Amino acid sequence: MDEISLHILDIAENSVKAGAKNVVIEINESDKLVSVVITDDGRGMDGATLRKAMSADPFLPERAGSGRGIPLLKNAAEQTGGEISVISHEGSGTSVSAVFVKESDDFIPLGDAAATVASLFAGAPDTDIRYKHSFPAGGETRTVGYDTKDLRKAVRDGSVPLVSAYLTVRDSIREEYEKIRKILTCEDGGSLLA
Amino acid sequence: MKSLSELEVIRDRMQDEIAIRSGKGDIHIVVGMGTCGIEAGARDVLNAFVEGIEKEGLRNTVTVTQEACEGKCEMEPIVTVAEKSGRNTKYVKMTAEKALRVIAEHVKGGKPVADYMA
Repeated sequence: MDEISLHILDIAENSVKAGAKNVVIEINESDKLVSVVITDDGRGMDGATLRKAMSADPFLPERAGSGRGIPLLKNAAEQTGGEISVISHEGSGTSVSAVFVKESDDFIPLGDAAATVASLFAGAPDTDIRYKHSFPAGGETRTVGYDTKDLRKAVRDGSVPLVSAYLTVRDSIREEYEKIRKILTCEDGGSLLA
Repeated sequence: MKSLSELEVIRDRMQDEIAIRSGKGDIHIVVGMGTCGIEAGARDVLNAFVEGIEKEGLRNTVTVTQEACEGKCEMEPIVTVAEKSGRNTKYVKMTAEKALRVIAEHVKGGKPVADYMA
């Protein structure tokens, strides 16, 4: 996978399959590192399942449920000189963390995070997703955040239509990134000191 | 946080789509989104289908959903078009570009694209 956000989509899909009602995706970016944490309240894994998930071969064809996602993520992070860790408790949920080193030749960009969150929500409209990305830009730490619970407030009976949901989530997140880009390039007449 | 009027716009946009959720749509497009699918580009294929459906004003009759890995990783991204008539068409090695042709010829025109089938 050539984007971190594709790994995020893959791992978060696991959360959905594990029955998560809430998935939190938090990306903390510094000048040197990208740190990703995906936490869910799904059914979690027992020791044996977790060991199996961590050790599966990422390059063998997948059989339903055997899950190459974590090994693929581990491979991608470690190639940059980073690492992953997975915490899981049966009955409580799972948290997958990955750190990528930016100056590595094997570093992959975050990519289209808006499409990832939109795909995730459209594929599991009963699951709420909280997305947060903090990164340095123009001498400050900027934050893009989105909570699908806000979208739910707009729909009367709580059921979310899929095409609209996908586009609304994707475009809302894109808009947030665009606002920051405009601030940095002074497009709206503001200054970098604003 | 969204303002009240922004929420209203979202609500109106979704009104015509409520019928789809209850399965009353004419056409169901299912995009494989397992690890293999994501690796092969399924997210961008899904994006293209959603954009295309919106652009052609087909929100009222077409749903787009996702499914997990089928086990045929070398054929991903896989997209199945299921029609009310009972006809199911399986497309393999899909791309965002191919999605546009499927929407134009199959979804709108009623004629499956043989070139992209399994």
